[in-house]
Amino acid sequence: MKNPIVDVIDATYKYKNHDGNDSENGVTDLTFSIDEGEFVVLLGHNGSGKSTLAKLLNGFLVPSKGKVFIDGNDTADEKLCYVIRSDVGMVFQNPDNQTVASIIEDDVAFGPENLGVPPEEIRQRVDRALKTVGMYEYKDRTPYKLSGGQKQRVAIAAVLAMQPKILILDESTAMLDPEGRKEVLDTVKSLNKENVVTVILITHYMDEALDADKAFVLSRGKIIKRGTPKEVFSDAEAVKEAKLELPVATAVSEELRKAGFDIKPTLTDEELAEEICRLK
Amino acid sequence: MRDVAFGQYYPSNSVLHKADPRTKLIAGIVYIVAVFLCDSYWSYLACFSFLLIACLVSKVPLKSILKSIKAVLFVVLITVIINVFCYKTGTVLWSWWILTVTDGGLIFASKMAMRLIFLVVSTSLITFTTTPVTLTDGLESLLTPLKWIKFPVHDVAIIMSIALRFIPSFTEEIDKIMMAQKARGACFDNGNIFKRAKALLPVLIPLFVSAFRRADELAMAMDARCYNATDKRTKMKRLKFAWRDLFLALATAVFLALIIMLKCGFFGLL
Amino acid sequence: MQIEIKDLSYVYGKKTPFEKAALHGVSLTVSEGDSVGIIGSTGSGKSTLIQHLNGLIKLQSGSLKVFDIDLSAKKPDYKTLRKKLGMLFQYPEYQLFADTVEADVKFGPVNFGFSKEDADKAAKEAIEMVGLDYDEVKDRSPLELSGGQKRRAAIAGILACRPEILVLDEPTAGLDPAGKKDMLDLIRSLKGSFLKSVITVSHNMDEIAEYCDRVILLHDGVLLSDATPTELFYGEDVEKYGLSLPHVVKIVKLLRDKGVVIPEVLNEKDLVKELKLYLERGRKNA
Repeated sequence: MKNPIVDVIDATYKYKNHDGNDSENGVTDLTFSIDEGEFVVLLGHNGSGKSTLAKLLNGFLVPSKGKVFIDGNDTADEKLCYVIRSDVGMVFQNPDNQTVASIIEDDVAFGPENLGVPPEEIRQRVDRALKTVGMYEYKDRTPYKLSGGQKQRVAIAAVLAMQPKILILDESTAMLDPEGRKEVLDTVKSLNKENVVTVILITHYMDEALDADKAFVLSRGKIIKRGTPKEVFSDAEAVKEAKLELPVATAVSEELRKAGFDIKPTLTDEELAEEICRLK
Repeated sequence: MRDVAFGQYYPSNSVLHKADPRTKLIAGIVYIVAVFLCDSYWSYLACFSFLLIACLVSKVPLKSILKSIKAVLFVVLITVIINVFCYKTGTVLWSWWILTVTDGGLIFASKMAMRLIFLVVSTSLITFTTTPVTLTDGLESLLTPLKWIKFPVHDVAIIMSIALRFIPSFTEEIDKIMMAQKARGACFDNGNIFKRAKALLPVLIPLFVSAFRRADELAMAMDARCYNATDKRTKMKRLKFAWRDLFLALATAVFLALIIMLKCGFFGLL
Repeated sequence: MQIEIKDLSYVYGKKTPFEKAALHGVSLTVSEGDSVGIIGSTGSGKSTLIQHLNGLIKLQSGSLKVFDIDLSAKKPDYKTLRKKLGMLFQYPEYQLFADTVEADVKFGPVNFGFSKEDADKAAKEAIEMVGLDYDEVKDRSPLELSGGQKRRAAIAGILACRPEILVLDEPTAGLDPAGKKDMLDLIRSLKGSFLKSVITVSHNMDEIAEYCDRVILLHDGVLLSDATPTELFYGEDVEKYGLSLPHVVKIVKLLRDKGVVIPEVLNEKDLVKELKLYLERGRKNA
């Protein structure tokens, strides 16, 4: 059997308070694994520990207890630091603070240049990455004038040019308007479908988890629920504890179920409409 | 919504625009050296002609070039005035109280003015014909030998390129913060200079806070993209010399030779 | 009438190669007590419109009157205007600058000429209005607060000036669901005191449908619709303009397509209520 691409075993990381004691923030005793090609969504509110987890996965942080393996490599091994960082591409929250160059293609080239890839190959990788996210026509322009969604797509291309195995989006949709969010989500989903990368999407929008293979709910540094989106969404208790908000369709079906109607949990508006029709 | 065309790049497809930034930078330095070697009128004429040809070749409108002189006109005037009154050799032409004007002073002052104008125009011509990004690449490449004395050439180049990249972001941010504070009754155009400086604090403090936040996030994003992973960093775009660079270099060399010959009194003109 | 806009047009970078029309012949009025939502895709002219309201953009053509201040006058009274019309920009926490929360909140009142006692009182009241603990936060640096608290402090800075109209640009941007809900509840709770009307610019159609009485739709600088949320979302095809439907509306429309007719509701609670009624009726008939 193939090893999981991400293997987190009993990992703990706590930030220090001013007085040197462990603070509330961080993560405790996390254990989970992700297989190659999966699309996983990590859900949690601000301060639930989801960004700490992201940093544990690309080796920015090393667990104080437990282990994190990326494609079999231990993140605690300093010699493997850059191997892990190039295997785990990260896109961050603020679309304005991730580009280093004034020209889009130069920015996308930054990663492979750092890795010492030969110039001809960088050219190919940059063109391919920009085409994959649909930003190739913009390659000679400045990122500054793009919309938020386009900037994040460029950021994704910049990560893809390093040919990572895993793509982590650390709240990359949080600052975007609905159109921008959709752009980014569609891009990421198609990347995953075409088997380019394993995707870990970190968000507080539950509706972004609808198409995921797996969803984890984080609260106070712990995974309080895991499973398929359907399993996670129907655990009202966990959703409430994690201070998340169910998609309207799920919330409505939940209310109707509580009122004694025989309705299945529904995730999308379409599903809900169908269920109502079935019941009538 | 400000359209910031920072720097003063003037888009065109002239030979000067297409030339390698390194050639232009070196030619610029050579020209500046030549300007300081000048003493005879003939050599000033040579400098002027060389610059005029370069300007015409660049296809940058003379109007824009004159504008760059206008910006330093004040400095030129001050220099002229100081030189006219302080340089006291030659025949006295006019004298009043402690002020004396000599013909030597006038000549010296006009030479200084010409030098300054040549300097400004030649450097502007480089920025008119080269984008800031290309200029940074050129500088990085020229400074490469400094790596031998452990000078962090690449880091300096990255710093410059990031600075260029963030200029528009910060101008936009200043705009936004100013508007937000104006909405809270702040006033930026009243009172004396101290009052005005103080009124800017509510803009500058948030700007600095945001600059630090951006720097922090950018550093993380750069680390995530393996910045400093290897000493053998590569570049996608390599600068390449072409025939036009050879031509430009030759023209500059001929010009420098001419100036040196004039200086040493060949041609029997001095 | 609190705001009266007639035939407002605006062009950016007039007489330059970058010339771009941002508003074209916009007319609208806002009366006391209104909760107005402004929607439109990116670049529709929303920001330009609201920046006009307190004179941050100079009037180019058309007329604009806020309270009794005529902004086409030579020297409009900006001070009074900005005091009475509070404006909260996107990510307002980035404008905090003073050493303490109290000093920051007092910045507006002091600029608008409140006496020291009045400014102190207004600051205390505003900090409490936004749900922060006055004694706990007043001497702390605004930079030490959490994200949600910072935004509240920024709102307090506007409320301390006791505006009669509050204009909010994307007040929930970047907040998580719990923070969003708190913010919307807060905004709703504000209206009634000195605050008479609220204008909200938002991308979130669910919020607009639930919290506004009136919605203004801008597209390419033109005002396309000025109607109640029910009229707009059930009557117009907003998706044509790059906007999404509120989920509740979408569900009702899907049901109607399938022959299930329930009333035109705008929020989740009403939808659940109507669906229960509908399904119970079905049960009884069966």
